[in-house]
Amino acid sequence: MNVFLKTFDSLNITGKMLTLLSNNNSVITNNISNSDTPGYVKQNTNFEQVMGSIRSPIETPLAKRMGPNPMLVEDGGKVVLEEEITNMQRNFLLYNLVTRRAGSLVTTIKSMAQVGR
Amino acid sequence: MTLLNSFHIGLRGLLAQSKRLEVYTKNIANADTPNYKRQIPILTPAEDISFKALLARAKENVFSSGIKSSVPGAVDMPGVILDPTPGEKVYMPGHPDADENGYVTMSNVTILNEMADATMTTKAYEAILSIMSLTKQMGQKATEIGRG
Repeated sequence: MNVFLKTFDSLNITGKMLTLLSNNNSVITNNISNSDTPGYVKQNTNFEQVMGSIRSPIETPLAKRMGPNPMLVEDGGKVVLEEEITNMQRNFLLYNLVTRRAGSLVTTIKSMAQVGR
Repeated sequence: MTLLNSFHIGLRGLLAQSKRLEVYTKNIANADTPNYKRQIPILTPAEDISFKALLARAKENVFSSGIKSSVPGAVDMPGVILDPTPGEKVYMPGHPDADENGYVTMSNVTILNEMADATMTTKAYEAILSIMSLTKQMGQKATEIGRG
């Protein structure tokens, strides 16, 4: 695989990561909305499982193209508002980090495309 | 786009919490009304019933166990229940609401409880607002990818 295609591949992965993080954002929103709901069980995104499935050789081509399926796990606890706010800020920082990475990948691809001009 | 989904969930959360605050306000306003029964708002987690969510859930039932849903729902406030606690009886023979023995049943609202619940609701509302504003910033970051 040449460098150009590899860069595109990285860009794809950052895209999937962004989808995953924004899905995690909805999960956190849901937890916060339900912070006072009796009987509600806190949900979490299972990052290990998703990130593992992105590169796994046993995944089918279709599953790879569809991207990571954000698995939710109910972790049996009650919603702690402070914890959720911390998670929300962490998720926001990660999202910023990944968008910056995606931006620099786009810049790389642009400058590659201009080689020799 | 999953970020818009966050906004949708947040909006439903805001609506439910403000409806809840309305109930507490009504209780406080009626704290001195004879025969008034305190209303308790019910909150339930709402399931997402879009086609995508149902399909994801059906797939999970086949392929994996222990995972409930891959699409988060929201929160709903379907209604209120009446607090069955009997209100305090006060002896006021001339009162139009008095029974044959001259006792008036007052409301069973404790203002302190209602104030505490209302404060909790306000905090939850603020938390939802703050995550919605962060979501907005995330969206702005996403539109800036590849610029400049």
